[in-house]
Amino acid sequence: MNSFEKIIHNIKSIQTLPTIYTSISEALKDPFITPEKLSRIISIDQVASLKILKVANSPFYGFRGSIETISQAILYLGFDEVKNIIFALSVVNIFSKGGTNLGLKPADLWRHSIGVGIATRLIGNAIGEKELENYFLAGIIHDIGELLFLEFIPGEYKSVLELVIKKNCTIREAETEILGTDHCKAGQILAEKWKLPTSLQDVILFHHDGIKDNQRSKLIASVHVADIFVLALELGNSGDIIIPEPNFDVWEILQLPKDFLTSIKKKLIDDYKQTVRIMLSE
Amino acid sequence: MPKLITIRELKEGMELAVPVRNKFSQVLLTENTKLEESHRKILLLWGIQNIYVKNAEEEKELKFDNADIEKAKEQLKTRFKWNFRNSFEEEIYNAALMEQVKKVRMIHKNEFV
Repeated sequence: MNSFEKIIHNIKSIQTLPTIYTSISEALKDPFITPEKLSRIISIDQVASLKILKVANSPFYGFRGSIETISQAILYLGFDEVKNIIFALSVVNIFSKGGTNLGLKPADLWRHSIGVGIATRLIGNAIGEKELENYFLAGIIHDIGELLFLEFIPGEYKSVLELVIKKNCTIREAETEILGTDHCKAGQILAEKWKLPTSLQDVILFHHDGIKDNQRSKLIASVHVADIFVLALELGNSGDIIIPEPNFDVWEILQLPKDFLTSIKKKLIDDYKQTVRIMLSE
Repeated sequence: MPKLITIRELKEGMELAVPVRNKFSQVLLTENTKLEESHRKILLLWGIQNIYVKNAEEEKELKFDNADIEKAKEQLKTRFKWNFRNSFEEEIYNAALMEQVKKVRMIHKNEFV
């Protein structure tokens, strides 16, 4: 069995998402669902509820400390944003157990992804995106394929990380050379198994390209820029050493305001520190 | 340099650095508007979560000497293999350079301890 087949085999056997997430997804299919009913479903899992409240009060949502109940979280952030927080927390929980591989551990990758999630949301906000709820989650899960590799093929992935250092190439180039595939493709297969929306599957598959074919997705472009900026700021560790050149088309797609990246730098770092503490604490 | 803040962080006397627009790009508040407490409620009602204000206390620039910067630029060449083509890419480069300078300074510091 080669590395790719091994990954596919493992994706098939990977655990499904926690009950709380599937119950909520099911409940949200009811067009007449009320915040109270949904909050009752969430509150069954008390540990998860507490963490959801902490994340909902993260500075980047702008309601610092004022959300005290799950019902309020639903009211202020909306059904979908709360569902996404639950999903993000569940995924972090599933992929946090792998060991350190040549200095790279899952927690480092999660730190990087949290940074990208916050930066992506700040970009979405700046460009006046109306459906912001997927922006944080898109950043959080963009590198999910790397977590799969770290967990299921640690031996082969050590060779990938060694090649990155030896050839001073990008992690994606090293993955393709050693594994015959990359974390974008592997992550997308997992996202498909989890039935994530196509927009999120596309982010996972195209975040290094910045665009999907000739489509102008603001979400993909936002994650692309956020990923590179977070890498430049060295928030967390994605395994990449080289800072990749952005796809030039993303600047036209996003139409960011002048000095945008410098203007969010301080807020991004402050929010990053707090959110890492909340999401990665036991 | 404009600073992005949440509505909760709004303080009386702050000045808007960038106009506040709604979902349809209509200007709700113009640039240079001096903000008052009452704006907080209005902005929240409009569903605005973040605004750009003028940065009164400009972030204190860390003083680096040229030798540190040149050394950092040299080291960064292995990570940053492309030339920036617009101001956003220059911002990315400068962010990476600042992190590299901090590392250079850290090494200096340790050498003298």
